[in-house]
Amino acid sequence: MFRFVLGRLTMAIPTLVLVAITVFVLIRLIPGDPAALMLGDASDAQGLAALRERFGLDRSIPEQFAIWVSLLFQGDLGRSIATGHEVLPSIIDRFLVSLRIVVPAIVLGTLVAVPLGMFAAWKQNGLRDVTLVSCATLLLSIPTFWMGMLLLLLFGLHLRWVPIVGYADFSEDPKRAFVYLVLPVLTLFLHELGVILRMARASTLEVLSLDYITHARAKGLPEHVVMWKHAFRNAFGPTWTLLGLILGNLLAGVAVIETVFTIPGLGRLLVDAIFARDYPVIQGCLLFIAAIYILVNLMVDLLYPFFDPRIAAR
Amino acid sequence: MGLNLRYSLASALAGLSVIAAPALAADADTLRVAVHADVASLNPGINRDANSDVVLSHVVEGLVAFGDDLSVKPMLAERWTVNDDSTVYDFHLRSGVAFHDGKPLTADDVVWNFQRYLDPATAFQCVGRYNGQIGPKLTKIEAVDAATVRFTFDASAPNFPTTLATIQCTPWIIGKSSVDAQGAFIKPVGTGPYAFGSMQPGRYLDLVRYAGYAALPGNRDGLAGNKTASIENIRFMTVPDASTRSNGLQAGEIDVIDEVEPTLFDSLKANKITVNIQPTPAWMTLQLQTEAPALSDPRMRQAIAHAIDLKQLSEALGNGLYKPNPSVLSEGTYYYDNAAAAWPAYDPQAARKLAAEAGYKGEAISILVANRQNRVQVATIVQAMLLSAGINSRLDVRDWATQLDQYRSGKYELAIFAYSARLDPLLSFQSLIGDKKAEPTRMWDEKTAAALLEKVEALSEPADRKAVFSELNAEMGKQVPILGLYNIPSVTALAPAVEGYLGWQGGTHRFWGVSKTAN
Repeated sequence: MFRFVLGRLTMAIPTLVLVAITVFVLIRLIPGDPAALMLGDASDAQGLAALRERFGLDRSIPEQFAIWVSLLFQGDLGRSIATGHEVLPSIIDRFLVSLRIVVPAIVLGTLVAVPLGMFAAWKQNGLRDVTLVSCATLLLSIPTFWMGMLLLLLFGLHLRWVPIVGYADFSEDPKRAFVYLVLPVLTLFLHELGVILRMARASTLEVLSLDYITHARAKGLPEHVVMWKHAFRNAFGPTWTLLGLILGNLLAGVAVIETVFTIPGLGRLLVDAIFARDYPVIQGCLLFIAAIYILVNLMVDLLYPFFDPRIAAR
Repeated sequence: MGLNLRYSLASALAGLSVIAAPALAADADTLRVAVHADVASLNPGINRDANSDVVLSHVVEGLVAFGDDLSVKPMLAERWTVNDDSTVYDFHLRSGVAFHDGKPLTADDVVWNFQRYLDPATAFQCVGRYNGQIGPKLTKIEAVDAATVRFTFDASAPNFPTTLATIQCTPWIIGKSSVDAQGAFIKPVGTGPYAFGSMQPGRYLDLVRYAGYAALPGNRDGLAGNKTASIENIRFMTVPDASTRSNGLQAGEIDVIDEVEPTLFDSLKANKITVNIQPTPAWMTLQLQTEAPALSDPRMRQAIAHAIDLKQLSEALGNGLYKPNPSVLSEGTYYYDNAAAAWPAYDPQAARKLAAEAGYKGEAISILVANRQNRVQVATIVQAMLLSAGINSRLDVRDWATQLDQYRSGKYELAIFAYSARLDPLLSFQSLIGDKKAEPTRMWDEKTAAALLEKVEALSEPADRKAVFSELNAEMGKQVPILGLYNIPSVTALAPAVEGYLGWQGGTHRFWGVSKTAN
């Protein structure tokens, strides 16, 4: 196990190096200048040149890259051009905020969607299966920003059950922090519900068609035993892999939801940085996101044998 | 089972609404203002943006400031004198003014501030307007006595008070405790009606009323006048999404939003929301790159000006709120003097004729525009109007950063571009006239214009300046290096509980004098 983890982590190094180089070069190839954006329409060439010099933007790209990499080795992702804040603490703060939306949504989504998906598979082509699949497809088809706005209008503006604007930290006020997270988590939950349900249904259908399930039924085992003891673990494997991808993707930033619900998460930090061409923040965020993807997928791989012992045996 | 489930759901929702109540409750002591992004910086004059200007104008003050009538008024200085050739200014400070740390304002503080702003290490964005890069050089700043500061220039500087009052370029006076022992900025310690409280990036910025504020007598007057704070706290909440801002206002969670789209007026008013519409000199324009081969002939640029019906365009976009204005000089200001009459009027036939005379053969001219909804709408209407006058064009929609990049390099043909409000026409003309080789952002590179600009830069009497501004405007109407479309009003929506809000031509928010009734 240790060698497996070490191997995977070692393999991650070239990936991260490649990401670092690609991000650094690509962001500088896009038109736009952070210094010019800061000055807007009220500046002159000399003022712009001075600001570019201040941020080191007047240096060559290899020189800028060398400086960034040398800081990176010291665990320093630099400072934001736009705000002057240190990049790494900002990313960690924002990531922890995103985590508070994504993890509950995924956990709830899994707890609800997997049993529903298996149920739909069990009742394949029946009215309940068609209804569940239709609902899942509908939820999947509604863009998250639209769903978020509809929920805000209904529960925030018309019913006044939850606030529309703001965010509170659990350390400041746990009750308010909870209330502020209800709608973003609900939005994400509803969207991911559709994705997970469909995957759980498809993989369960595949397992239910296998001989060993027919054999279990032929032995006269009750259906709930067939489903939970024999079908569930094998059917959950592909869903587990999907969950890893979804989790990595969402932790990388749910920018749209964070924007609609005014949540100061990682996605918003990255999007704001892209619009402002805030190079150190963009580079830091993307490198961090790459690392999160690698870690989440490693965790998924490590836990996979729990659901499918054949993997451990290999 | 079904009944139990319904009962449980109802209980959960009722519980949620009880928990939510404190979050939804309005606070009569706090004015909640939604802004679309965090302030770029709290360090006055450094990395500033429009949000920084609004926040800092409550915390820090300059020696002078623009009044409601856009003339320069005293602020921290109670008066000033100038010698005959406008090279030496003496500013006499008001007595009884103290910084938020309790220390009194002295001439030494002003000298320290100007030395700090002139130091290249500070990176003051407008240092060029004081160190001789643009206009005369400030060579000496000295404290004559505890309440008098003397500024000496190397050449006549008749517009120094105007430059000092310019919102984007004001050397705001901060206390020495704003920086640490190494000179690094910590937080703004000013003399304004509000002190900086705290900031949570991505969430909010809090200002707290300064009990020791030394207010000027009289009424509110631009960024000068009486700035007595009424409400205890101001919270600037970062709400990036426009629909969330308007929903939050209607739900009573936000007290003030701005940049309200005209299409929202009816629904806001139906909810007893006050909409304040304030004309400003902010200017939506069609830039015409005179260096581009397709537009180098003035007749072609005049043709384009004749092709665009400014009245129809303004009505279509602004629900009757936008004032069409081709000129730098905006209506309602002292310098206006029917400036629009000097520009080519809407006349598609004249457009066709002039385009033909200029040798136009139907080639498509690019219109560069940022991918913001209102800008693209402007560009689309302009494109349609040009087409109806026989001028073909194509829209090049880019993100704002890309447009700004092309604006800075001068690599475009036509562009939809909005200029922030310049409260004195000289500032606008200075940003438009100049050598394009040295400064590609300049729109008008022409000898007559440069001479007139130089002439008006040496004048300080309003009547004299008005005459030269009119000459410049008339010449601009012939050359058409840029075409104004309309002046952009500042549109602010206020919750029913908000009282005492007044807009002004500067377009920046002023929350001193604003109060809230308890809900």
